[in-house]
Amino acid sequence: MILRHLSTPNPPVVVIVGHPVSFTHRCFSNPMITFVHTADWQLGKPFSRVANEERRVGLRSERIAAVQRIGDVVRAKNAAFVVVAGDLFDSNQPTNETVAATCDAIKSIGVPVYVIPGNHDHAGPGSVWEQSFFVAESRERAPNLRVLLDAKPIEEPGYILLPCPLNRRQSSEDPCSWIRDFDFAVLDDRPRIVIAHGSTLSFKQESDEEDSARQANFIELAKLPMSQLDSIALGDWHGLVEAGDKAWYSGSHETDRFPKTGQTTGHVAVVQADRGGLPIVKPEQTGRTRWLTHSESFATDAGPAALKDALNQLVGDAERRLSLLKLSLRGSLGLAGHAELARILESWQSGLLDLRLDKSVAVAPTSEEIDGLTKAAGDPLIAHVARELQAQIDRGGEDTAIAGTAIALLHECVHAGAAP
Amino acid sequence: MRILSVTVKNFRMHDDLTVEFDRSRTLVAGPNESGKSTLVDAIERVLFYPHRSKKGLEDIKPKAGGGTPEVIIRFERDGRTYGLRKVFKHQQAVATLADEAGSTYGGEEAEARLRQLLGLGDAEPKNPLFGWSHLWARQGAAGTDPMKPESLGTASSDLGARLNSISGTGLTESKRDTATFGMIEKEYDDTFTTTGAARASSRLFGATAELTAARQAASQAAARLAELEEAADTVIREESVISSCRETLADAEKQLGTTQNTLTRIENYEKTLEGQRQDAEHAAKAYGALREADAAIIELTKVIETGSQALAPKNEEVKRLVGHEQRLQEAASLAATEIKQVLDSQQTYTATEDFLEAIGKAFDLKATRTELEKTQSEIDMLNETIAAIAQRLRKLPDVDKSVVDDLEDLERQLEVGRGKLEAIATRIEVLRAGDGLAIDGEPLAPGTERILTDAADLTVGEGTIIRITPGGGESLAEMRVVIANLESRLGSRLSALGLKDVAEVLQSLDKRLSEEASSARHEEKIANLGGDDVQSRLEKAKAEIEKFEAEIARKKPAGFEQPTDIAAVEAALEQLKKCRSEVAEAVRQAQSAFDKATQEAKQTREAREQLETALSDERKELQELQVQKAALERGYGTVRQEELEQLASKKRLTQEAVDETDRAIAALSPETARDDRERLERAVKLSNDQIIEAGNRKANAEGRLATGGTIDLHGTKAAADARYDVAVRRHTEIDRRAQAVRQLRELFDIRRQAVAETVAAPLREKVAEYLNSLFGVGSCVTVTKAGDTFEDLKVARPTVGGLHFEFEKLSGGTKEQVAAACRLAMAELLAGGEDGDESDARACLPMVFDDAFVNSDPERIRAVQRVLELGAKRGLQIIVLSCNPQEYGLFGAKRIDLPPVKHASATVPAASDSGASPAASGGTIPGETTA
Repeated sequence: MILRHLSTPNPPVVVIVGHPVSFTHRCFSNPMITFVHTADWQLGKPFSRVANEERRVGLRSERIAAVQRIGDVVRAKNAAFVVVAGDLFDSNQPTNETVAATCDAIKSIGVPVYVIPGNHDHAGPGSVWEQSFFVAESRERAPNLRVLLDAKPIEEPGYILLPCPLNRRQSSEDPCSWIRDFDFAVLDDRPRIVIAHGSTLSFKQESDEEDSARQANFIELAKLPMSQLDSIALGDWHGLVEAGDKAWYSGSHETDRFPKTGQTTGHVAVVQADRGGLPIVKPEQTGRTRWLTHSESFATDAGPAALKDALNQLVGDAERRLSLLKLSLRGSLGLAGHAELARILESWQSGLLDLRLDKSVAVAPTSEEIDGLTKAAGDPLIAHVARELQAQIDRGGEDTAIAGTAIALLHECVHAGAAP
Repeated sequence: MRILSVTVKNFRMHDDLTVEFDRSRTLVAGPNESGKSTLVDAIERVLFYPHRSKKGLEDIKPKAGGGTPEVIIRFERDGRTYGLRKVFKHQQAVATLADEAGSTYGGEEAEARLRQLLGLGDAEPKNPLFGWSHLWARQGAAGTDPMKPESLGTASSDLGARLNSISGTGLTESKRDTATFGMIEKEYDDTFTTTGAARASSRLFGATAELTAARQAASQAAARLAELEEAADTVIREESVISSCRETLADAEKQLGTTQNTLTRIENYEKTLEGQRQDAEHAAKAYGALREADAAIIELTKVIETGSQALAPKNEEVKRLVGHEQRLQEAASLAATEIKQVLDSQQTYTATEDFLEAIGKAFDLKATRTELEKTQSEIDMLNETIAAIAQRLRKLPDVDKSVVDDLEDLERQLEVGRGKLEAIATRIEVLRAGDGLAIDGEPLAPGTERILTDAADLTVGEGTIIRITPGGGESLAEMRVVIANLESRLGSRLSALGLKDVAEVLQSLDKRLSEEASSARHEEKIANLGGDDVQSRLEKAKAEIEKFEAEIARKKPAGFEQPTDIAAVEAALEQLKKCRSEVAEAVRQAQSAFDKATQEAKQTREAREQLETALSDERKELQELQVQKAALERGYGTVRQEELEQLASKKRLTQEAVDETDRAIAALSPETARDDRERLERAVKLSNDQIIEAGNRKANAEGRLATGGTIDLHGTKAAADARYDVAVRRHTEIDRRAQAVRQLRELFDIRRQAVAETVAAPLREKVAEYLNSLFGVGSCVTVTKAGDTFEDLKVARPTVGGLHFEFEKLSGGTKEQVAAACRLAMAELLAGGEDGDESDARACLPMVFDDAFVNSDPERIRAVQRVLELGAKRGLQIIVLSCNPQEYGLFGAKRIDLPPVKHASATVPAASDSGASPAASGGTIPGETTA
């Protein structure tokens, strides 16, 4: 374990322009420590919503690769250690392969990596933390990994960690409650860093869980003795955000979902802290994958072509393979427009890392298309069937969708068939 | 078109045959094998077979050999007459078509023109079903379904087109319609089976299967994860249990320690208490013992005193009893002396009594002697008498009773003998006597009686003598001898006795007997007097007297005056008896006194002895008490009060110590403490057990939690859920498309069926019109048009209740008739022309019926003729060929009789019944011959 004692009597003023992160300016009299705050790696995440298995494997690999890039940040920023504020693993029973890859990646960081269990990898019974494979593998492969399973101070040369591990997935108890009653008189002037995982009342966020909103693992920051603490490194929220004067969510080191508007994802926080001061937090990008969203509402059959242009502009050819797109399509298209849209989507489906399609485009054949079918004097049978379907669509009702599909299918067959 | 005539040359059996047809109705008659069908074949060949066609060429060659098959036909089309000639000979085949306007076509041009005229289109036919000759009812095939594609050939599409044109152009299916429907039907068939279920190879089936599998996988993954989470919950729960149990355990152990301390204190107290109790017990015992001893000594003193006092009267009583006893003994002794004295006097009385009794006895004996001497004297006198009697008896004869009896017996026998002699004699009594009656010479007077004892002669009169012999024989003499004997013996006996007769004997006996009786009486007297005993008794009495006199002398008491007589003796004895009675009374009284005194003395002695024993016992007891008392006094001293007080004090003090310790123990509630210990030990054990059990359950759950890093169940579940979502979306999409395909196919099907219904309607109506002629009004058919073909021909007739029967299920005859109606209806529709103008007189098709009703009975054939007539009326040219032409007599057709085969070339004239005559000579065509 390498520990760097940072002694910076006049620390530089950090100004981050164009970034939603605040900054602090002050003089420090106490020793300052620099560390990397990260969380929610969720290694081994299955990405089961991604249909393609190869892509899913790719996404999992990206998350490991991003851990290795944290090592670059550590070296660049001379960070003394790394704290992972929960959810290192996506599950508390990851496979051995995931564990092995994780240990290797952590080892590459090169400084102590302090980890607390989060709600995903909580230290409940049978958890990875007590599995013999993990214990042996981490000791062997990642000697710099320190898993903090107990809610008690860890006094290291130069800093004191106050871990708040989760022992179960959901707990009604504030994981930081033990700090409220702690007698800080026993501690010296080393900066005190809380590591916790959960949502905060002061920061009125919704749960950043994909599965369901939770009403558990609340951290009541207001009840913490803030003057006794210097930095609160939080996990659970996947975007980088300030939750209080000293409390920050670092967000996930590699984006793993389509972020909410304005969220900074795929970053770690480089924190400088000292006893009695406010921490300086600076984000550093570690993520590579791009999680893009786009919406389009069709009014005419020219819509698909416009969509194609927009996507080209949004994604760009070079980054297609690292991009995931959540595409919301609304409106209605004629029969030919539908066919065109299907061709475009097929192309993007193949080219993107994942295309998550939210498509609700109505089949609205154009009057020409309808006339072309219903008034085909030379094809009395087709015309008759088309009229029947159109009448059904006009009537509405539960079979409308099928009738719409049928008329599109009829259109497809008529145009696929031999010329009259 | 109408066929006007046909000439057939070198065509099978026909060398050269020309037939002229009526424009409307022709009946070609001819027997079997006369070439009727060949004629039809020739017409079909020339019209519909290209002249160069090699098909069936061998079949049509002339049987006789030589010559080339050739057919020339004249027909009318659209008001024009055409002549067509075809020679069938491979490459040398010829086709020539000429019209009345003078135009002539040859070869392929002729064929093309012909097709136009026949309405068969431009293209050269490629199949044998080309043309409409299939509508014709051919021999042997008249009963086949006329609507089947193979029955219709290309006429089918022509008919379809015709029907379409009738229905209007808006219904006809285009090629694109068909192609589109084909695609949809293919997709439907790819997707669904005939039962409407998803086909196993279809995407729908795959999507549904995947949906099911994905649902199962999601469910399984959720279940496994739930198991895992349950195991984790179990671990937490059991840890909580263990923790709770440990708290309980700690608490219990702590309490147990306290309780144990209390119990130790209690035990110490109890040990102390034991010593104290022993002390108290010893003190109490010592005090008690002393008190008891003191009381005992006092009591003993009292008892001894009382006992000693109680002994004095008893001693007095003993003394009294001793005196009393002595007195009684003296009294008894006195009584005994008295008894002895009395008994002595009684002995004197007895000796005197014996003496007196001896004297009395001597007196008695002397009296007896006197008596006995007297009696002896009497006996002596009697004996002298008896001796006198015996002397007299000795002088009497010795007669006794037996002698008398013997003599009396002899005398009696003699008497009897004499009586018998008298009885044997015969008595003769003369009652009346005549002269000369005499017996043995003695006359017998009347009244005389005689007894005869011997033989006597009775003389009666003169000359009569009767010998009478009494008794007969010699017995009379014998009896006289016996009597003499007896008299002898009696006399001898009497003489021996010296007596004269028996009476004297009897007297002598009486005398003897009297004497003997007297002697006996004296003997008896002697016996009564005692006989010889008297003498001995006398002797004995004398001896006794002597003895007693000696005894008397010996026993005579001194001074006692001997009595002189018996009376004095008896008086003395009486006196003596009296004295003896007095003495006995005295003895009795003395004895009684003795007995009483003795008894009382005994009782007194016993009482005394008893009392003495009791006294002895009491004394012994007293002695023992004395010993006890002495012992107690030796043990406890004689002055005890001070010591007693000391011991009482000690007893009180020790008891107070005990009570104090007891209170101390009670204050510690030993029962509660022991109960607590038991309860707490139980709680400790129970908690330990629960910890072990919970530990086991926890270990079990932990075992279940250990996945070994091979699978991430959270990830698996997420993947399974995602797979299910995808499957649902995919299934929805595919299912919607499948439903769309199904709907499209249904819509197409419905529409096509409706169109087919509509299009086939004119055909059904036409057929119905012809059927009405056959089976009556109300007949109809149903038939569906399917593309270019027709299907499901069914017939309904009023004669069979209007029920629809499939064509194939009709009888042979009905099939022929229904088929004919259908053929005529179809021909009529086809003949209507492309413009559909049915009323056009030019619109006509020749319809051939070649022996087409062989299965129909004559009556039905008459109905068939009405049908044929309807066809003819509607413009069709009807050509009937039959080997039974008479059946069609009422058809009113032009009759043509085919000549016998092998005839030379001939033009067959029309039969006379039609009145028609050949219109043209055979072998020419319009174009070749100038009209």
